[in-house]
Amino acid sequence: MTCDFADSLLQCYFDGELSALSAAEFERHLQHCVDCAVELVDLDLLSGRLQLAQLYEAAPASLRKKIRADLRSVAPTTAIAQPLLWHWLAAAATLLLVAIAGWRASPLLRTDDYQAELAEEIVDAHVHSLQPGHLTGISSNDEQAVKGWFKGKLTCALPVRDFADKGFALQGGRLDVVEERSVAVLVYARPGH
Amino acid sequence: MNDLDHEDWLRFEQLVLPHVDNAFNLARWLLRSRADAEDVAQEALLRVCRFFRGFQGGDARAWLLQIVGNTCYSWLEKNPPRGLMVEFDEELHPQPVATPESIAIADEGRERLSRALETLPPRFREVLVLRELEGCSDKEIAAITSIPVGTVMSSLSRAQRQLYSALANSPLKEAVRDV
Repeated sequence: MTCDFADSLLQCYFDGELSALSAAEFERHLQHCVDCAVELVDLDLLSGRLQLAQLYEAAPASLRKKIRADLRSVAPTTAIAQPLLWHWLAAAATLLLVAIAGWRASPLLRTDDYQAELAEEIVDAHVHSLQPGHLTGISSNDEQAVKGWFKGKLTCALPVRDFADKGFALQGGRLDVVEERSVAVLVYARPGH
Repeated sequence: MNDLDHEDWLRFEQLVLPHVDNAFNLARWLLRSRADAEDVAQEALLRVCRFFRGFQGGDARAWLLQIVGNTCYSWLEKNPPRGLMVEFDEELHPQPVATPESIAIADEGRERLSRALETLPPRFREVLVLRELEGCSDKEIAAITSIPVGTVMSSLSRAQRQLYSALANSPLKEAVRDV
């Protein structure tokens, strides 16, 4: 910074403290002085009127949605690598979601949005379960064994019934996370699927 | 690639997902487009998720931003900026011929600042966004950008300088474009 004006007049000009005459003179000077021009913008920035922080742009809701949807489908790269058995099994199993109410949101909160989000989370959990090795946390058709497996993982006891005689054979169970809480999922298979 | 188990998912949701805004913001300023930023941020998040098993703790935001940055740069390589947006070249603008009116009275709005920022080269945009918008320290910026700390400091001051010059220039450029 070599310009003499920069030290003496610039701040006054910026603050509007110069007389009309001095201001006009300074403006003539400013047209040829890079230093002063830059300095003036500096001052403008420093004064807080032009802060970069105001340029912050938050992520649009659509991005959050896409990311949520994506996250559950990350693993399919492995599913593609070893598809047959698990794909078949996964497709064959008819899943019944028994969401045990670990969540008890007030009915007031259950707007359409809430319902849609909840449905999305449950579907996501379901899709996640179709990845290899995720269908069941415990694989058993023994009611007591499955019930025992859930013990300590849930806040309430879970009745486990095998409906093999009615066409729904117990395959096992697993834990999903819905609304940030663990919910029990019982897995049944339909014959012929 | 390993599947993430439930615990990994929870950890990922707790550590990484809160920084979606930061990821988007950095991508938006590096790519100068909200639509592209959305795609790239999405891709970066997926990448982080894919390698999350290897993440032993530490600063998840810095890690995410680093991957966002890298993803942006490879995106920029594949999709070179075209058209109107001419990057600011110090050689070309040795003399900001701004009139005092344009500087002193010029609108101080976001718009002008945003246009000025967008004329800087990507590296400068990156360090400025990390410093001014994300509040990162020199050290954090160095970690995120893989630039040595000393270079971060000089990049920052050069970037600031260019930004000021670009601001001083913007009214003039506007006038030229209007002619």
